[in-house]
Amino acid sequence: MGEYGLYVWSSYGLALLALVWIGVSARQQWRRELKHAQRRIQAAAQVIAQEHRT
Amino acid sequence: MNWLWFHKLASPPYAYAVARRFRPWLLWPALLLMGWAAYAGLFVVPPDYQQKDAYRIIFVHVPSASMSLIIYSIMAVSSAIGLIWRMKLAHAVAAACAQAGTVFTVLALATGSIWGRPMWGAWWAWDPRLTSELILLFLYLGYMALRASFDDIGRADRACAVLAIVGVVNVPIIHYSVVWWNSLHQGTTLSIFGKSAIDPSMVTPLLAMLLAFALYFAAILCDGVCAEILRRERNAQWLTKLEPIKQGSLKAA
Amino acid sequence: MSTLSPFKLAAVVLERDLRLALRRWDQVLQPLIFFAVVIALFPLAISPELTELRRMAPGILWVAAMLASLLATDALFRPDVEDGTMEQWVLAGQPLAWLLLIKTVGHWLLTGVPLVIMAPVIAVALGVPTSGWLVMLITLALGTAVLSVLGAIGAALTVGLRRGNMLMALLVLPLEMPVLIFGARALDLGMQGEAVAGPISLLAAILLLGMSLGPFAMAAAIRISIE
Repeated sequence: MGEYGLYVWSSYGLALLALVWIGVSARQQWRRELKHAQRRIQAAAQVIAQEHRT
Repeated sequence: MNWLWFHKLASPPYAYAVARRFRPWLLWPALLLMGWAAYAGLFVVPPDYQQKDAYRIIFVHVPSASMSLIIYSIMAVSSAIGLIWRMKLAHAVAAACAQAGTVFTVLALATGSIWGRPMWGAWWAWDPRLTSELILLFLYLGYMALRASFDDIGRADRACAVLAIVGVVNVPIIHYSVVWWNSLHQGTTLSIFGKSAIDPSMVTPLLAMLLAFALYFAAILCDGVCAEILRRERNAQWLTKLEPIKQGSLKAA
Repeated sequence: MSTLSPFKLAAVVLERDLRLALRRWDQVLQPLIFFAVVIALFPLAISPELTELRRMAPGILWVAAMLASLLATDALFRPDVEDGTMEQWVLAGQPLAWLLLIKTVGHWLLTGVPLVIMAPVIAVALGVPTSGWLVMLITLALGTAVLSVLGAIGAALTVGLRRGNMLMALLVLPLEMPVLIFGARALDLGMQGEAVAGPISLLAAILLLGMSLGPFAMAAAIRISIE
């Protein structure tokens, strides 16, 4: 890579970091929202079950 | 033409299902293509006559800069669709674009700066293209700041839509800045129609990496849009039909 | 309800805004004093030498004008939103974009025009030669108008937020950067005695674009902000 090795590798390294970051971040956000949604649905289902019993 | 598919997509549960199904088809080709393009760019393509090996940065710099512009355009167009046709899904797409767009812009500026150091002798120059790309970064950051300052998602969507549309005027400025002004930055070398000014052996890995970045972004957008849909459909009935996440598994539900 | 002609409407709105503003003329003065103070900072921070200041004068004038315009824009929509007038306007059936454009014009009359009037004094303080004064006045007049339009869009977006002032600045300043580049360049060329028709035409074109499309963005933003 000649004398420019440091520049080239750090650029590619930054690119890799950036891509991994947005990928992981999007994934995490989706799973977090999914968890919240399912918790809410479970809670709502419990409330309905309660009302059925009473 | 049958627009049924478009109208179906506007329904959040349908769009959600489509996104979940498409994601692997976007992600894995993207990663493979990225791997090949990086390998070709780093090891296969011969060194440049003037810039020797430093020019290899082009294979990450140009795709990320292109993505920063493409993503903002997508953000602006979906914002407009969301405002005009009051489509929640369009707003969800716009919201999901912001973070990736910001990161690509930072990456473009950073790789450009790293490339500029050995080539021009300076980490930075206030030339038209770099400056307008920096303005794009501020626009992305402002967009995210505006979104965060509203409590109600609907209002946040519409306010950010206005901002995205107003700011889209910057995109052609960035693109044509090297044409309109005497710029330190390299002029247009890639042409989709007609001959490119760049050596042919370098074009393929460059276009491949650009396509790879685009496919990767599309895959990420699937996750992002799904998250945004869930956030906006808090109490909808169709959510009850979602499959639960398997604990500790990375597979899509 | 009778519909007023657009010009009658403009006259009514303008007269109201100017009258209200002049009742609180101390508040009208504040951005102007801020403008002068900011400009005074540069000789103190950089160099008192007029030869050096002359070179930087276009930039100093423009940056100070941008900051003063930002401060003044907070008062553009907030009082009307807070006392419910804006809500009446949205419901009134008169074209909201036109109303907001007139308000922006009024704002420019109260902040931009005084800045242009103050400019000769500032020019002397920064060593700008009299040969450059005409260009300076023209570019400042056009430029402050564009700043008012862009500032109004930002103000309309953030007027509903509790502490929206800093956010408004963050949104508006990047949009104003191209204007700054052209305006300062025009002033710089003018001071050197070179042809300024190009940058000034560009500035005028930006102003026309802003005045024609901006009010629709403002109207959309105001509707969102006062929901």
